[in-house]
Amino acid sequence: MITDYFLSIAIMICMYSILAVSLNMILGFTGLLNLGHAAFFALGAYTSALLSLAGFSFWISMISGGCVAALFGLVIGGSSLRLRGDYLAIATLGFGEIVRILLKNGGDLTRGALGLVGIPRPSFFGIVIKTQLQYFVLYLIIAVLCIFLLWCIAQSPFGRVLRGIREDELAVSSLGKNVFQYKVIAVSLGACFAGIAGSLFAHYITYIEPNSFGFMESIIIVCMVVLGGLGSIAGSVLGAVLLIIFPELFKMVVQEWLPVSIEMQAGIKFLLYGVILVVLMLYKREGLLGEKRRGNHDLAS
Amino acid sequence: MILQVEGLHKSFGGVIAVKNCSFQVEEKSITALIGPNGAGKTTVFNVITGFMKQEQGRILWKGRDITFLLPHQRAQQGITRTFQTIRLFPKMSVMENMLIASPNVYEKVYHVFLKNKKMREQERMNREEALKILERVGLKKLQNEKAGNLSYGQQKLLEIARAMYKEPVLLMLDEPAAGVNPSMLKKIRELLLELKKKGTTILFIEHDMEFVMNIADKIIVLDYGEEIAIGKPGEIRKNKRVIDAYLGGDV
Repeated sequence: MITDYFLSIAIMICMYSILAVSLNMILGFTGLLNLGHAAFFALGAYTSALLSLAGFSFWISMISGGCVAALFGLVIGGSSLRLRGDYLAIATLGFGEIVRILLKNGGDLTRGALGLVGIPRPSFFGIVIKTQLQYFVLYLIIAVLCIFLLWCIAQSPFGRVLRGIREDELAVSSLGKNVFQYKVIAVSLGACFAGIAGSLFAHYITYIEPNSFGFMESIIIVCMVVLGGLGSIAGSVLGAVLLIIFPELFKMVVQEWLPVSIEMQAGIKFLLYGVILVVLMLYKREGLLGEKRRGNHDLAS
Repeated sequence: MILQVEGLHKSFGGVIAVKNCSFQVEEKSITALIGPNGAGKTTVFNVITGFMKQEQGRILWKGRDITFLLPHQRAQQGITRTFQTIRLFPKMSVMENMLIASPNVYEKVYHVFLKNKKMREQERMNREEALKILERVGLKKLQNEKAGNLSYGQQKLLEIARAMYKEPVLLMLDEPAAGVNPSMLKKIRELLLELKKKGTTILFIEHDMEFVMNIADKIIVLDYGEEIAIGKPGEIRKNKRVIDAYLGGDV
């Protein structure tokens, strides 16, 4: 039983690693503050769950989840990426809420606040994934594959242009690159992988409801990326590991030593999140594994 | 006439930055844009490169109206620029700064998964070409250094090198000599003359009069958004209005 508990944490880490790395593509590499990443996660989860419930196989559901999220990424990117900085953050935040509210009011299709239940477990070649260990192996393989693909993108000439956009968007356009197009593709790619993570989530928990994909979810993913270091793929994975393990550790410690109510526990947890981030920003602004800010650029500009 | 600016007008709120400005840039020449601070020189640059929209007037590039082209489209037509405040990619290496400027046909995202020989070949050629330019400006040794760690003068050189990399038809430099030491200044001057010989057209803004008089074929003088004189260095030096507005008594 105890190994099942650890495996379930490891499975969550696999899913959140994909989420964090996919957001890193948008936030860390391209420099676009996206506060609605959970919406892509939700779109992937719902699309995949609905298709599975309709009888499609796990793989088709998962790929479709990614594609639907990517499509929304294109639409959202196309309509909001002319905005910069703070404005983009507000727009994506709004988008995140819109998706959640749409799912909540989706009538018979999404079953509103009741959510979708009885999502089939993944199965292929006649094998149904049932135990935690099987889940872990499957999800680990998928996560490694997704992260590898994102890493390839980051290393390519395409990824180089994305990093250039983060550093100085005007300079990139003065060199003849269509910045807008690059940004839209980056968001869409990030969305696609978030959608795949959503699909994994739906098939693991087998029950999804709109409130699993709220604003706090987006913020936690942003925290993972910032904690690990913007632009560092290993950092994002580390961020996901730490921010998944931390609440579990916290739960154990509190149950053992601090007999307080559940509400208090949640309050203390978020308080500690806040403290960790403040300390990090004060002493290690680039994140745990982020690219060092060397030189005197901050002074010079 | 490679570039024609016709009746340009641009204001910011109540401040008129550029007023009915018209001039022409001849192919394979060096043209300087001078004038006191706030004369509208950088605004003219921004309008020509598409970073700002003018209220009136038009820009003709090789006889074609390019007023409605976006900045990156103008760059693709062969107009590249540097900025008054250096705009490099500080956290990326010198080489990467150069490579972003390369016209890379294998830069689409699907090429990530289709690594073929041609693609690697092009990346290799881009690197080689970038190295040649870095060697020419004396930054070859620093190719793996982060651009943000370079000295001010080296950053200026890198920005020019990056703008040169695409073999622009028109190279626009916003104060290439500002804040640069004499030996670096000489380097930049030689570089510009060499580019001109190779057939690049250059348009630049500069306050260093010696630098301007030495290399410019033609000088355009702006004051309060209006052009007050156009001519060869010798003519400008003697022009009464220019002396009053800008040069002062004894140049």
